[in-house]
Amino acid sequence: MKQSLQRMARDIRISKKVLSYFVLILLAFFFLGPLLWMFSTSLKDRTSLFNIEWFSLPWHWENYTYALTMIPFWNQLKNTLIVVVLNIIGQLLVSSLVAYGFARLESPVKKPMFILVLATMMIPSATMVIPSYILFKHLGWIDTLLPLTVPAFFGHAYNIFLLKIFYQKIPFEYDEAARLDGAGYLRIWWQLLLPLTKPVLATIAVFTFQNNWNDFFGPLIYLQSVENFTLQLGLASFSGMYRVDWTSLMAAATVIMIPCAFVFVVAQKYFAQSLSITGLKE
Amino acid sequence: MKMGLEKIGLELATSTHKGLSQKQRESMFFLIIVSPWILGFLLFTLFPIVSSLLASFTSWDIITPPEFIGVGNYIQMIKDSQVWQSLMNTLYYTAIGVPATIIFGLFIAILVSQRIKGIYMFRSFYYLPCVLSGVATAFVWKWLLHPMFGPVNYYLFLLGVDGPGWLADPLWSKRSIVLYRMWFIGGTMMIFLAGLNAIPREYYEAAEIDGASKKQCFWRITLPLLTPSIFFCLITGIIASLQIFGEVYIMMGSSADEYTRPFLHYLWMQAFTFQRMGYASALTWVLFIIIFVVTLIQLIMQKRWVYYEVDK
Repeated sequence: MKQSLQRMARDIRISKKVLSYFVLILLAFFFLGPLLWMFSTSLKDRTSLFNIEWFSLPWHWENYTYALTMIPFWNQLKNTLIVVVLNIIGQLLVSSLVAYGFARLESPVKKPMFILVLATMMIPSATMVIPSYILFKHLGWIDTLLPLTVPAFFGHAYNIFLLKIFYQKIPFEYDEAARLDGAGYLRIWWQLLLPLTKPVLATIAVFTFQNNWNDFFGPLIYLQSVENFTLQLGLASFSGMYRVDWTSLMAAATVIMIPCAFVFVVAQKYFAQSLSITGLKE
Repeated sequence: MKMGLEKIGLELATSTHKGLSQKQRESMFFLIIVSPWILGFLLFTLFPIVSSLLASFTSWDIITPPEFIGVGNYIQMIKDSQVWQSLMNTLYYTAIGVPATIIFGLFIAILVSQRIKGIYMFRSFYYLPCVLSGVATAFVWKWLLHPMFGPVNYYLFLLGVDGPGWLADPLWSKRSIVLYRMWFIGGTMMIFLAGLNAIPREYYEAAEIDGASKKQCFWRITLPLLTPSIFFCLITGIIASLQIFGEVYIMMGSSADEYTRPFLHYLWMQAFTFQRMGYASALTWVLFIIIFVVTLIQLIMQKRWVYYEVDK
């Protein structure tokens, strides 16, 4: 009696497991299928494009060379990299310096100012588009990369908030000890706190990369001439220029996704970590 | 230690010498350190906000000087049927998309919270779309949903279903965009996963001893303890949905019409196709107020349903 009950329990467990895997694989197809389809299309011959086949030989790698010459790929890659790199540098340096001020220094105006930082976090990004456009028009920055890079060097509320939390977790005794040894505020930040917060800085770098690499709305608003386009904008204009050529379009899409996928794989732990940081838990 | 104390003494001496106390110096240094942010706030946030508020009361093509027209833009907006249409489309994306994302996101999170072999791999697969570019993936989905040659309709055909025209069909175009957005559910999944992992196992053990069924455990333990996560997804999901733009812009191209065009797309058109900066500024302020009010209502309502553990 006891044995048969045990066996039944085991059978239920196994069948539940089988069902779980079934659903998991089905869902995996939903999430990965489109990417496989993209890749498979990118290697197809333009005439056999409309056959529903996942793998058809021979592979037409020339679609890639074709796609990369259709849009001024290297030039747009250069623009994209300028934006991405400058944003990462700006965010890491300035946001962390400002966060250091909020976390470790005392001032009567600190509290009201931090509330202001939090308040700017609440402003929906879409509502800043037209106002910022007006500003950059005044400054004569339209159709340059300046609107996409310069603001990074003034800190970003969210990153300041994130780093402040981390700086506060580091014992204050460290600062005091350093100060007794004659270190100034800047040196405490640079030599003591920055190295201790490397994982958060890496997380911010990864997200800054991802956001700027994938940003479409900003470039769409601020850039006008093709030689200033970023890759996203180049890709978006790709389909408008010619009759939709799906094979090269999918080749270009694949190329644009590769760096993001690569960063995701390499920096996976930071993606997971970011969720625990964002204040959802503790 | 003695050396250190001497140094403090020295520091105090020099600071009083300059007429500034240690506190004042620290406060001054604080202002210097955060000055980039203050400058950035004044230049990139406050100035644009104020100037766009002023611009919203003008008729302005950005080339010739603005002309003050009072609340003219706001009155015109009420009469502009396209404003209402685009607003309704945005509300559709929000009202259908956000609950769907939360329900399926929770389902998937529970599925991948099981401790079984290979589960980390599945989590990565599901999250992968979230790190990929919006432009490229929108094209991929446009191609997947191609009414004639797309694989989706091909497989539907094999199943004996006559697939819809998806993006080309006025009835299905909005649903297609919601479906595309569901592909990015991985972020929601991760948030729920973090929430699920934070629920103490003892609660379930205690419930099991008391003879509670799995169903009861879900409704009485899991769901109430997940309400903070649900609330977070709801707030961020709604804010993001009200700002839908890129996916429709890419997937619909120039054929974005009254059936699909979201509010932000209409706003963008007014600003950059018709050069009506004053009107676009007014629309921006309306969008801001809508998002603000919706968020405020949620913050007030949360007291009724979001459960926070007291001892924390």
